[in-house]
Amino acid sequence: MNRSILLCLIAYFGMSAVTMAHSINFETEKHAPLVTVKAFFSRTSPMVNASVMIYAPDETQPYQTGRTDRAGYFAFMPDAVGNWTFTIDDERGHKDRLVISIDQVFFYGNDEIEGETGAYPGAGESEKQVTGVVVEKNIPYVYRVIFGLAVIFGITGIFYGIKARQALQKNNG
Amino acid sequence: MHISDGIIDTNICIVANVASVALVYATGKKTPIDDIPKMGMMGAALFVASLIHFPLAGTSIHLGLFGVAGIILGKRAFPAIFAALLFQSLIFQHGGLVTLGVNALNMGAGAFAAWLIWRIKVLPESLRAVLAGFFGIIVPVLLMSAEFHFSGYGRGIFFLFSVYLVAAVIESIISFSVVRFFRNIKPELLD
Repeated sequence: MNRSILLCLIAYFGMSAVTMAHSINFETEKHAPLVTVKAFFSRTSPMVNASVMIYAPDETQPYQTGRTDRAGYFAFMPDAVGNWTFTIDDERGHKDRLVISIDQVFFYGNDEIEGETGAYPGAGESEKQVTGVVVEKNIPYVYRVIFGLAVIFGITGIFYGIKARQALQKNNG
Repeated sequence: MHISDGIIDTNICIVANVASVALVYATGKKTPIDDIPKMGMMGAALFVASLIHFPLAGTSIHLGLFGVAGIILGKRAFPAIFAALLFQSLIFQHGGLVTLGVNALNMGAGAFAAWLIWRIKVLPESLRAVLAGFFGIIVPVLLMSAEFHFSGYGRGIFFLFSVYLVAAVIESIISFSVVRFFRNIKPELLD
């Protein structure tokens, strides 16, 4: 029994320690022509003033660099479709990478301001084409639910095994 | 209903964490082997139930199932609630990790109240089930409202109480249905 208590305590404080190290969460919102990424540790703890690098699809040089604002937001204007890479580093040991899939652009690099609108080509259509807000997370919600359930059932199994072994030893002894 | 980090005073959170770990040990020790799968199943149900949100009056409410947990597990509902809250906090940031103890004590109190109501054998079973479901939500919400109030968040927080009255009614119906279901299918779970 003492060993199982010890295991529980190690598991509890071990997991606390892992989470104290903070997992980074992302919320990506696409408001044409902008893509906004919010980086946060928890709802009340945004990733403030963290260094961000944005890489266009298939490019090794950064497309844009900068820092998140005090609410953990960073915005950029993609000029190509494909998978954009967003890297973040708060220079205190928290780093992560997010791949953002862009399937529609409203801004084409230097080919801007040559339309009737005098704005980015396609900007006039953006409001019609993008309705609402697309929110993406780095790990799909359902995977998190399954992960949580798996861990809970796993712990149940461990305790069941410990109890069963104790009962067996009692019977044999 | 899940209190996030940074709202309640840290010292209170530390005391609540120590108290809830002690309670997990106290209520979980000497658990009969047959109760362990029930606790696992209930923990999983609690984990999922709190993730199902309903929009209501500008905010959102979610199920708790603390009444059902109290009915089925009695005092052993506490370790299941603690585990469910721990993983909700770790995986979904639903409720803080520092406030885990406070949340567990709040919701554990709901399950405990439900268990006490369930043990009043003089009342008809259906009524006990409805009341257990109702107070399984109302007790944690009252505790949470009081904690917010004493942390200096004013009386506005009592608005939450009125919103959660609706949740409590829904929980009563669920609790009643679950008891009816198990009475027909597996009555030994309720005795």
